[in-house]
Amino acid sequence: MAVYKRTYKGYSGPLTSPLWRFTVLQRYAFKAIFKSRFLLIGYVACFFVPLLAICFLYLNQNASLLAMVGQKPGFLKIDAGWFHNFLTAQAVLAGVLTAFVGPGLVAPDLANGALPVYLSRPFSRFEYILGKGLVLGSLIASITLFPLLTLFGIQSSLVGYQWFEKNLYIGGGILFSCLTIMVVFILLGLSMSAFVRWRIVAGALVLAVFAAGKGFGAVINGVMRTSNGYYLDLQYLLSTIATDLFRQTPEDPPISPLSAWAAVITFCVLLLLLINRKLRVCEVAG
Amino acid sequence: MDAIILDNVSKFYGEVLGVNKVTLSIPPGITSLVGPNGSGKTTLMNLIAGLLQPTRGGISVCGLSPSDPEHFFRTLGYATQYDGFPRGLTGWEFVRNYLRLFGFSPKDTERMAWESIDRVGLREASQRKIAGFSKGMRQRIKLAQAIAHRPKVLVLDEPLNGLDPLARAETIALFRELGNEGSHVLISSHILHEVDLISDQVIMMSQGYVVAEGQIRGVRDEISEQPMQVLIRCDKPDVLASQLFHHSQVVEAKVHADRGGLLVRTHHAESFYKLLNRIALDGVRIESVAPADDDAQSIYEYLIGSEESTK
Amino acid sequence: MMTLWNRQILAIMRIDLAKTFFAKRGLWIYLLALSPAVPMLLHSLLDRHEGNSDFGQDVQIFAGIFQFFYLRIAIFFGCVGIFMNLFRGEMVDKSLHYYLLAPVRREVILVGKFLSGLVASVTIFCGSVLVQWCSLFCHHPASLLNSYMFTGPGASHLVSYLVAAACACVGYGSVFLAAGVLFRNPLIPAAVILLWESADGILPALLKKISVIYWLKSICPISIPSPKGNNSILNLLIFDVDPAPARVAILNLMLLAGFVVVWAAIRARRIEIGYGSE
Repeated sequence: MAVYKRTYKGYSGPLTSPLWRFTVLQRYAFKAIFKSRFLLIGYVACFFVPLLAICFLYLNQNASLLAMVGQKPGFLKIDAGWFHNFLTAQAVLAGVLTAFVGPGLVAPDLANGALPVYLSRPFSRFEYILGKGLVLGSLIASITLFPLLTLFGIQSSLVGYQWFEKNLYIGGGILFSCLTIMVVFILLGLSMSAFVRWRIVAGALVLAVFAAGKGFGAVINGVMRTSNGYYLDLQYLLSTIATDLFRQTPEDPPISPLSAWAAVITFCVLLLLLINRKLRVCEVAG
Repeated sequence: MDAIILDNVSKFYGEVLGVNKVTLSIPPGITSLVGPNGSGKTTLMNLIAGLLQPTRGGISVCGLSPSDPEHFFRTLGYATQYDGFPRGLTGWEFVRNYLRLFGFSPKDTERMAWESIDRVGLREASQRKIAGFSKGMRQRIKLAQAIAHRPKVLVLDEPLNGLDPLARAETIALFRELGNEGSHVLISSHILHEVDLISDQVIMMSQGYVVAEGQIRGVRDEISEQPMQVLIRCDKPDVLASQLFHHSQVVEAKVHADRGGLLVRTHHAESFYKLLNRIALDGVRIESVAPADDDAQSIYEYLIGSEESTK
Repeated sequence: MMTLWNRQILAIMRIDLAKTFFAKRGLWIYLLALSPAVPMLLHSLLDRHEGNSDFGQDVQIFAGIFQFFYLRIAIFFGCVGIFMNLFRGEMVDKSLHYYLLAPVRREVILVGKFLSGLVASVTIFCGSVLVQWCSLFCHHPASLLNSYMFTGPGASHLVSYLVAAACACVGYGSVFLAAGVLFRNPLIPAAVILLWESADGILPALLKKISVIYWLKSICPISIPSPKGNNSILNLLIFDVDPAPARVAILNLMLLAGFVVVWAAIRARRIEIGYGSE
């Protein structure tokens, strides 16, 4: 007679809905990221300029204070250019944040064989990428999209509905520019860490994509006497798109906003292909 | 001068204890370091080999200090537990490259590399890339690297892991050979019955502390709170049991399932053996008497098992 | 003792040079080093110009590319890849302990690794300078080339570029080797150095001299002014200071490298193996 000891009891508690299961990855990700004191300090420092900007907007509309220095409210012009400059500064910080945070999300999972553990659960590759991307995306959004929209809201509330109505396109520019930056940076961070698996080199590669792209683009422009090198300059491409969304495009730009969109989309597709190729459960050991 | 000496050695990783107040003098021969995972065995070995620096205390190996690597590592060979290897190398290149760092001539380097590879029985596979080696082959090539320069002191962290039974037997024979040549062989292992077979002395660790050291039987004698177990093979175990219960030094007697023997627990082994002689004269035919718990496994359970169970 | 150290340094170099030159993971360094040569070769093949003005333009373009792309980006990131890999890469591969278990002083290991990184980087980046030089100028008429190279300043320009590239490898190499020894995440010092070197244009004159790029620019034969961007406020801050004499620049870079390598060697004595945290 066989004896079966039924001691194992499976989990019978509530399950996260399959639709939102990708958000599970976020639960511990932030704790792991901010375990590094350097990253925590760096992240907090990213809010320094937005806080300064809020004070600036307030002071710029404070009639009593400005009267003391003989100025009228709004003596400094807050327009699309101002928001564009602010976005540029925050985007640079977002790029550095991507270089430090992005590789730490995927590379350790690949190096330590954790990916098969994730994917042996009811959890797809797409959900994994989405979940990891969301971690990075939410950090980027917190230093670009949210501060910019907050500033836009504060300026609107200080000046009035007319300003808001007239400059609604700035809000649209902020939203779409930040979303574009987020998508590109997320894909760049994830793909580089999947590509090299070594967190530090992946981070250096993220920085190198910006620096080397810009430099090599300039080399092509210089040597070939052309402006096609700008297509390799990711920073320039994103800046061209943002300039267009903020309605600031100069009369004769080296490359048109439409071409910049096409180049960025191509770049994103290439990064997606790289992620698809590298983020696999099976691999052949060499 | 001929011993591995640890003098009040402690190692802390921040607030985490690695090993604490370890004082040892390990003589030549085969010494086993046993203890559960996280007990500090690898930390102790890394400290002896100079891969870690003690927070407190001092270490010397045959009178040499890890701070003098040029002499120290000619005396000591260490096969670590780390499974990493330099990328892209064959087994042969791995051993040869290591020997090159000693400054030997190319001819000597080649000869010594082949000798050590032969000694671990890996000549045929040695021209293949290590990346394609099995776990057992990787263990053996690490061993070849550790013994290649013929060190006087050999430190081996879990060297039997991943070896098949044949390779294990061959490796154990190699340890014996090295021990007989007068080398120090310090082995850490979880496989306690193998430790029992090969080691001259044992060091037991738990939670960063050394809980016992010395020859296994000597260590057993020191554990007074645990009654000694004696296995008696005899023709009338029930009669023997009933006679033994009249005497206070016997704590427990268990008749074997095959009714051909008896397991007795006693606090006073010597007086018990005298008692047994008397009983034998009374007509019980005793075939054999043997201590049942002076092996490493039992000592391990007495000393460490109780600590583990209290966690 | 010196003979033993020499033999050990040579052994370390043999091991590490093979890894640096032939590793698949180092392929991107070759791509980065040779990347300027591709458009230069295309330019030679597709845009065949005649005349002194184009030749003069090409000389200026080479100087600009060398100063703003090759030194600041290609060699910088190339040295990050080569020199940080020497120690930190071994930690990641869990193979550094094989060096530490050999009867070699830690200082000797460090010097051996530094020299192997230096030989590899100088070969790759100086080799690439020669390839770029040939790619850019080979399409010009032979008479023009001869007069530039042998009667004009061409040969000394080429030597200066080669010396500057080699000095960049020494300067950046020593700094990144030390970063690999001292920091668990050497990307942090690399990013800080990158920002510092990038900000060279807007730094005050005194601070400019605390950057590697200032001394490298001093070795370059043609001085190209820092480019100005679209931001008018930032442009006000951009200015150039007079370069130092080339000999002084070379000496300073060597002193910097010597100091950093000695410091890293002292710190290397305290290296512990803790792969779990990598």
